[in-house]
Amino acid sequence: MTTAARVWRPSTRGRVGRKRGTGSVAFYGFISPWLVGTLLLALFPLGYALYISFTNWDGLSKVKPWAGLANYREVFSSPDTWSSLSRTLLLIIFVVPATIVGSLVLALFLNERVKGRVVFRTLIYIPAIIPPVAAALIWKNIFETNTGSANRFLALFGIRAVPWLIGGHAFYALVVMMLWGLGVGIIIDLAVLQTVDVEQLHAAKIDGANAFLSFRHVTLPAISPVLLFQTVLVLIATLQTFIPALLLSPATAANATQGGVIGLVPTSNTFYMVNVYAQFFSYSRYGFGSALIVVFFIFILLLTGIIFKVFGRSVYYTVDPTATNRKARRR
Amino acid sequence: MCPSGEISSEQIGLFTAAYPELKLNLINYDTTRLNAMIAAGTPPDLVRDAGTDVTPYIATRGLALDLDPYFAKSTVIQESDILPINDVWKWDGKVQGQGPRYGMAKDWSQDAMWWYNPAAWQAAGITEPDPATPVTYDQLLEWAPKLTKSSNGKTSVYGLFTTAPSHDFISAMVATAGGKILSDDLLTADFTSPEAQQALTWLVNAAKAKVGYSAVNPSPDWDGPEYLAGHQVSADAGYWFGGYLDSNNAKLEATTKFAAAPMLGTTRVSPSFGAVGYWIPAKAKNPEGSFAFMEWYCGGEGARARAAAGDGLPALKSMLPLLPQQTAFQQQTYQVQQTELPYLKVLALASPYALGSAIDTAIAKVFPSAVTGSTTVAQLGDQMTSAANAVLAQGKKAAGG
Repeated sequence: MTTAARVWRPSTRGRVGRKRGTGSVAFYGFISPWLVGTLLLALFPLGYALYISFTNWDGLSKVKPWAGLANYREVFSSPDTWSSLSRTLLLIIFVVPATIVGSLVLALFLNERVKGRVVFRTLIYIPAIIPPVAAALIWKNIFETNTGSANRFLALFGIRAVPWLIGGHAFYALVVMMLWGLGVGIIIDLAVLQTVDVEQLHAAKIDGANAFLSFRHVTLPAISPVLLFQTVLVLIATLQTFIPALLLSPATAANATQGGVIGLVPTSNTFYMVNVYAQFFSYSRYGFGSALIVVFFIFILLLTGIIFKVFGRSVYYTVDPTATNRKARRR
Repeated sequence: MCPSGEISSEQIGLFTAAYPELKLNLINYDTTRLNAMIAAGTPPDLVRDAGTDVTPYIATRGLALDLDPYFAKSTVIQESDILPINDVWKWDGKVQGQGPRYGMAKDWSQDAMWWYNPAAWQAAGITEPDPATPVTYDQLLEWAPKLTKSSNGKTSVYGLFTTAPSHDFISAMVATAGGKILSDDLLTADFTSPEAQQALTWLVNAAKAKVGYSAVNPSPDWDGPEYLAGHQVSADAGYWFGGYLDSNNAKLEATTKFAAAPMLGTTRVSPSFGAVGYWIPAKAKNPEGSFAFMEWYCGGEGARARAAAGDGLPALKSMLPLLPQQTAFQQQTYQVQQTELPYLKVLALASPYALGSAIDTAIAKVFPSAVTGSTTVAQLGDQMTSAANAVLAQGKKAAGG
């Protein structure tokens, strides 16, 4: 086999070599923006963060005192790490299933030929295209204790005003704001629902399957790869929740003297990345903040791997990767 | 780098007319951006900060330019004309107020003073305080519920200015009771002293009473806009607030009075915890140009115009007579300010190991539990001491100590 592989005609080898060379140049040419971006904006910062995580650098001093593993020991022993992580996991419990199931249910509804479907689709998608800052301002106004419409609505029923943006209530206000942007998931679900084989659905109907059984045994397996993809994306995005928590908090540059910008984020919304930000920019602890990031990076990597391992088996792929490889070899 | 809107386009025009060779490019003040710019070795040419808070920190790290040679050469600012408050911008490695000058105040105030609307007191049937005589913090808390308008969980008017467990505010309170928060070596903070406990008790009670914005009910803005909107009957600010009112809603001057700093104890102290001004980063590309702006804005024509408008007390002795005294409002604020000046004290608020904002963030985190009743004031004092000292210790470690 090895010998046979070496017996190439020179002309063929040259032609193939030129093609391969041209192909390689084109390939690397096309991916170079992404490659350069990844190297400069992902791998370099990650490597730098790894180095900084072994120091006590304050972000401003010329010296970066070596700290060894002290920052990592503190990551695992600090109550702030565990409390912020547990809040983040609680947020995941609320946001991830609601996002995946909610967007799928709405997509199924919008996939039906109902009257005013286009209007519904537009209305549901609009929140997804509103910039996050504007969305946060809208929700801040809605949830404002003294003037917000949420409390005006409650007042109609004689219910006392709720301080939505402070204390434990702030967590639920944030969940509502995050779920408001389901539109992106709905668009993806709508797109994948269009790809479900109509013949299979008809066959199921002929076999006596009702709508639920058709969905359970035909639609769901067909869209499962996209659902897995969505789950992983939403999970990672939710784990990294920071901007929405900051934007929904009462913190502004003007009132930062009331406890620093991060000091005004309610405890219930002090998620892992909020703690990371506080370490960097409130406490000037670039070394410890970097250690928190490195640990979190590994945590997300492991969690993603586990999800693929556990749920990957339940996913139905219409393309058999093995068959594709066989075809490629024959060619 | 300064908060957007602070330097008006008119001022920019006047400066560029005086210095046509210099182009002024304003960057909005943002600590995150400032950190990033300094870390990248491309700092702004001038940075706006509170001298009482940052001087030891920026000087110890070699971030700020020693301005002594620039002041020595200056023809605009004479050393003998500089008011002592500017010494907060000095640091000799151990003591704030001594050593080289690293910045200069653009203006300053006695920041624990307060402003109020006398009509609110009259409407509530409370005898209006004498503005020139300090009231006690307890009196403020006694009046506040009567001045607050609430219904069904909603508050339309707060009877007390914003109270925050910031170490500036607590230090100012504690100073009137003869105490202090930061140790002499600036390495530790103590919120467990009887004076600090008294201040914390008041802060917790104020937050519990819901008679003003607090750490558990943060203000959507600072006191200025809330006072202008009529959401508060008082505002916690120094003399500069008069200029703010004048430029934002001059009509309110007829219904506003300026009052002496309240007292927790029996020692009359009226601190300045700002002396906000400018410093020049050591790596600034154009330090000469930066100093030219500092001269113009803090001690030249720019400063003269702001002093005449009542935008804070000037940094130079020679400009004190410029403070406005034309209207009844300006006369009232001027007189109260004159009465207050002898009680000026610069408190030890800054440490080379941590910025005040870092200490404030750490102590703000533990404060809410005392308001909800999960912890006692004594426990709060312990927690705040631990939190602040942890920040200071980490800062010392980062400084290589």
